[in-house]
Amino acid sequence: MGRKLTAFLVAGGLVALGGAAIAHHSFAMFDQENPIELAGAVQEFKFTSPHTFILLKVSKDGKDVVWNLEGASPSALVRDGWSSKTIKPGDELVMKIDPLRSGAPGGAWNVKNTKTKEGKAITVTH
Amino acid sequence: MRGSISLFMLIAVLCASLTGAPALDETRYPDWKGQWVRADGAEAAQWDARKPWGLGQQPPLISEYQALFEANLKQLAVGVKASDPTTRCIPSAMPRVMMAIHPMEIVVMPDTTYIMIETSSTLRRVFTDGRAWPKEREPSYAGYSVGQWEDTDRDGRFDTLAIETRWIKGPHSYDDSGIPLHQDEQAVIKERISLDRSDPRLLRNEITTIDNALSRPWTVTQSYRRVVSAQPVWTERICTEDSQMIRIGEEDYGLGSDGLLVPMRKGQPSPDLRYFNQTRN
Amino acid sequence: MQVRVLIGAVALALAFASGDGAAFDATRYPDWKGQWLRVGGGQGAPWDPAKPWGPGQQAPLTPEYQAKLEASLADQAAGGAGLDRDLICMTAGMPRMMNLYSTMEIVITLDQTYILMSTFNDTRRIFTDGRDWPADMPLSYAGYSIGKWIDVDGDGRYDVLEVETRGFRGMRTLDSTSIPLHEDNQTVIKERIYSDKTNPNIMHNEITIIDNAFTQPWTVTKDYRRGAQAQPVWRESECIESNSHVLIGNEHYMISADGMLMPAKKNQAPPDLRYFNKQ
Repeated sequence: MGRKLTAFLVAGGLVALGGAAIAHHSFAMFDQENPIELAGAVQEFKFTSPHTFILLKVSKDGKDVVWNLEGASPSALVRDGWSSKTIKPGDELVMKIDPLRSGAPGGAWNVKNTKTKEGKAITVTH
Repeated sequence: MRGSISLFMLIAVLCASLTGAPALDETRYPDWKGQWVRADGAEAAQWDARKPWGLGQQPPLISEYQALFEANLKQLAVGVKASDPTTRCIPSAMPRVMMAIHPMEIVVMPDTTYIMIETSSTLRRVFTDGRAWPKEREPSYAGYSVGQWEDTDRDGRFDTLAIETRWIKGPHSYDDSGIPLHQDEQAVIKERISLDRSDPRLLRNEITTIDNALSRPWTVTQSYRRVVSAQPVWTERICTEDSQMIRIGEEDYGLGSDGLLVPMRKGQPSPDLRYFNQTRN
Repeated sequence: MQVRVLIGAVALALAFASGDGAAFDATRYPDWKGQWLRVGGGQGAPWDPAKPWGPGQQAPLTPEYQAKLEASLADQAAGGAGLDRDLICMTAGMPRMMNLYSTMEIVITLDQTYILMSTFNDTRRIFTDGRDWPADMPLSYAGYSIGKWIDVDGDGRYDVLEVETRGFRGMRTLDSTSIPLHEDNQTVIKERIYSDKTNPNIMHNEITIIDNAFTQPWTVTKDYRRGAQAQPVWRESECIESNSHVLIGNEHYMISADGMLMPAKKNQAPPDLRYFNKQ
């Protein structure tokens, strides 16, 4: 056990994990087998514990729908270099999310599958 | 003579080595152990216990926030508690939580004094390690607190903990009447906590709020009484279990004993179910 | 003469060292200061970090409680909450909070050891003052904990904190799959908390659950690692402020971006509004 732990730490400790990985509650309500892609603008970024939320306004067929997307905790995001200022209202993102099984505009997001509209990883500058 | 001096030195070395190096010299800090409760009683739920609830508090608000306060009171009068986020289980923020409506414990350690209050399971960390203020912090209900111990009577023992707290999250109020703090979240709270000189069973907290909703700093003293018990009882308070309220849209709804939604006031509209019409197939 | 004085000096030193009612000597206790984080645990922070999440946990449940677990998993797979109440901001309780979802601090004093969790602002008080179990034990999700320090290697310094916790209430589960504990709340939890022998920045917690939902006591070891920051950032729980999950009756719904109810399950009916129709 000691050696395994040491190896784990040497390898860099906690790697970037998706929201489901360290959720304090089940994320089974989100369909992780069939993710979908959303492109839109951040309406709000709630950097709250135990879960962060991105409200993403997506325009489709002339209609705006705001998606409520639940993610990892602030502590987990900080380990990925994020802060409450990493994204802000108006930022345009392309996200691969795990949608609510009902089809309603809700889902789970994670850092790895969140990119700028150009398809680049979010640059963490702080 | 030389032998006696050597012996005394030996005694000193022995004492030093056997006692080790305790991290906290308790003789230098006041005894704030045990359970503290609001001296004026939990029923006195107004911020300044010396004055009546509501407008009687006479908070020195600027006109814009006085108008907001009066609007909050009018809402409360008809049973709408939107101005009080604690009714939706949002934690009491600073300074409100220091009313200690529910019991409090203070744990003094060398680098940090922990203030634990049953209300909202609040934990305050008051850093007394001499740290500088960070450039910024995420606002939180408890805020970020830096403290300094003072020996005001110079008897070699600290008697006062002076605390400054910044980065307090809003919106929030001083008490359940809805006396508002400014929405800019720039409030600074200064506290001076010390035992009452004439009655060590009482702990006084002189709290000064500096806030842009106020026309001047507002100082109110909260008092706490030590519970005489070797093993005080601590109660776990789970607001979400007790509250049975859900916010849907702009409305607060209740949950009945059968778990179903119930209106909170006469004539309250039922919740908007637009997303059910869209997704059913 | 000098020998007598020397004996007296030693006696004095010993008397001074033992004190009159025990000043707290931190050198006798392990250094558990700082911010602790969970090590590993994989997807969904399973109760037993050495096994896969979900059915892979192989919890030694009785047939009745195995059926409850399976029903919970099936409900969750369909979008429901199952038996999980963490998602509506109910406290994790014991022993679930020891999954350490966010950060933990341990404050050791002479009479109590405090375990301070960021998630849900859970606070544990472990009484180490030698008290007996109270006759009228207050019941809670966190339970009532009595602990004892042990110097296992006889080096004059405590290295293990043994804790027993009883006095529970509420529906409690072990992790996000909702491995259930018995509704009789007669759970007894025993912990042995100690630093890793080779790495003081690793802590182990050997947790044994004795519960009537199980066919036998179940022991798992959880590991925590100390964060490196000299001034760690502590977050408080803001679960209610941002939470997007509600339970109405036994049905789980999610809250939309504009604050409305959304179905979580496919073809889920809206909530029963019978009490509104009566107005």
